[in-house]
Amino acid sequence: MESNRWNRIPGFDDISIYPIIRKIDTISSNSFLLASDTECILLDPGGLASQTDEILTVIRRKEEEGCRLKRILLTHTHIDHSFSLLHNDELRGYADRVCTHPSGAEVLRTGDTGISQAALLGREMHPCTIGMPLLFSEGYFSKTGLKEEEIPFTDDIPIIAYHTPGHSPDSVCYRLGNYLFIGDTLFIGAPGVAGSVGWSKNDCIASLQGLIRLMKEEEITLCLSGHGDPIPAPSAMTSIARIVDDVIKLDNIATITPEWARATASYGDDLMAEIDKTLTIISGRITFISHMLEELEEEDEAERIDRIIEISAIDDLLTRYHDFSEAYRRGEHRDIQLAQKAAQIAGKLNRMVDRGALGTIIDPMLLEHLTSLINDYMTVFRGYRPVATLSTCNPNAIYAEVMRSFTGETDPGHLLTAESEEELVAAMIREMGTIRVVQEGYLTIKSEETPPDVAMDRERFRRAMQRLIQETAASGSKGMEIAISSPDRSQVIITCTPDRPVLDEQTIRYFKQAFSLTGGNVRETNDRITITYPARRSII
Amino acid sequence: MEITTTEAHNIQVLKISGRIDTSTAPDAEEIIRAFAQGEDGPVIIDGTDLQYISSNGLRVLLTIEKAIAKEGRHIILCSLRPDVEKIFRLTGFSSIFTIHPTVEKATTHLQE
Repeated sequence: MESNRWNRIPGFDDISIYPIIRKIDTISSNSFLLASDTECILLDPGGLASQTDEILTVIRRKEEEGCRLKRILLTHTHIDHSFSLLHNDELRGYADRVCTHPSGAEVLRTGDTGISQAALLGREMHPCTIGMPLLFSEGYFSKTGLKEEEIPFTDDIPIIAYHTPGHSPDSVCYRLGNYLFIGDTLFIGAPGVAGSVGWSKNDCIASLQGLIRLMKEEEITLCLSGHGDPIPAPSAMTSIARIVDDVIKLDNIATITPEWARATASYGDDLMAEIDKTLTIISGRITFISHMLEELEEEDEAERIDRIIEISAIDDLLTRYHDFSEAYRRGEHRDIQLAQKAAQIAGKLNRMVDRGALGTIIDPMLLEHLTSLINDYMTVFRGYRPVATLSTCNPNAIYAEVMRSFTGETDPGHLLTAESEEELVAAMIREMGTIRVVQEGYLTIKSEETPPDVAMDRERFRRAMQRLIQETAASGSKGMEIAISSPDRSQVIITCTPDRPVLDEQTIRYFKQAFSLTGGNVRETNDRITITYPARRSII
Repeated sequence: MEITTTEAHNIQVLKISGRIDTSTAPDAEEIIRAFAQGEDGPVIIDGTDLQYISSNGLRVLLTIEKAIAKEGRHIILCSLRPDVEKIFRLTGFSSIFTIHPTVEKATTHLQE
């Protein structure tokens, strides 16, 4: 099926389809026009002016041929599917012919910016009263378990509407013969979509299961999605079955409101800055090692190391995120779009980093940090909170562990015990991959001899503290004092004070988040970060 | 990104502003290489307004450093912002390049 032209529908001599297929985004859905010799139907007008122009041109040409626009069908009233209907005067003129679920008719009539996602996507609603709400109310359920209603099209062939709530209360799929128009069905479990206002887990599951039955029962051959390319039915069924499994696991996810989108975009932006830094360090170290190996006339090994990470592709993704984020700051994108872009780029970066190969070369602390950053953002973007695994720990013991990671002598064993040239080169590479920026004497500790145990996420604390020390040392601070005190033994206060402020605002925000996820209460003044943990009392 | 030439104590200095990332790295390489070919002595880069350098940017500097090192010349980086200098330290590149806190200190050092 070709986009932007009329195609014959197999099995029907007199019905053709004009799809307008777009890349997947939140601006506008696909649109479809269906035409018999005498009647034309528009399915989802979408939300882009250029798309509307094309739709109207096609409708006018059809009218010249004696084929009138009979109906406009909406798969749902999300603004990316309905914007042009509300904002284009010519399309609005057809409001009396618009069909949607009665709850969708109400969304359009009242200008509901929540269910329509207009508030989330920063678009205006122009309330509109439509003329042909679907009835469904008769309560007729087909064998599929979905409420259905017949919409007359040609003399012999009707279009069947199926109420498939879940993605939104007003979601409707439409069937014409073996073609099924599935709206946003394939996205209902997706992070950043699941949990939107009007989304319902139980309805999603029931609708998806009903659709699988429907596709088998009616021998559907092609699914036409509201976004992206049409999908052969077998692939769509596999995807839908997988989405059911995903949705079943979604419990207590956050509701995607404009406030959620703002907080997630801000969190994602801070984490992307940290991901950028971490990947630049990893890629830079690979380049550094490769250069050193060349200097040592180990050209083959230098080339091998260079190929371990796709530096240009990673750089390109980071630049794309930066450019998008700059456009967001200029007001060209909404919060939800930045949050989605961060998830998209972080996911791609995650797949590009071969931790197995890098793990033999690069400081494991950096790779661990990168993994944790990406996981945390994906967790938030899916509508959850990153998990802090609290356990009872002694602050002095953890601090000693952090100290050892910086001050521990490098193990010359590998270099000395290497028995072959290959082993020696491998040992040298490991040595070059561990760059020590924290010099002896950089850290000073002030601690009570036996501070009480605290409840904290030990691993998160270790990672955050290692990064903070590394960051301040590399940023030009000459020393940092770490004080561990417990004035009244009911809590333990850990204060990190670099000799002078060296962190920028975004980095400080990142560290505040990172330490708060350790289970502590965080304050910051002039780069002095104070984390307070409640003491864990022994129960006898 | 913008690269301009300035003069300090009769020595030509390249001043780089903005970001050297994947989209600007090719231009940066061309301009710095042309500057290096047109001058004798070290290639002094004033990084006062260099806001960001990506790994591709680091590679550009390394490629030029390797080319001019054959003639006994080197890149000297000056006035790097703390967050940019941090990247040089954390990647090991601070051991490849000479980094001075200011252009003045670099030129004074050269004239000593």
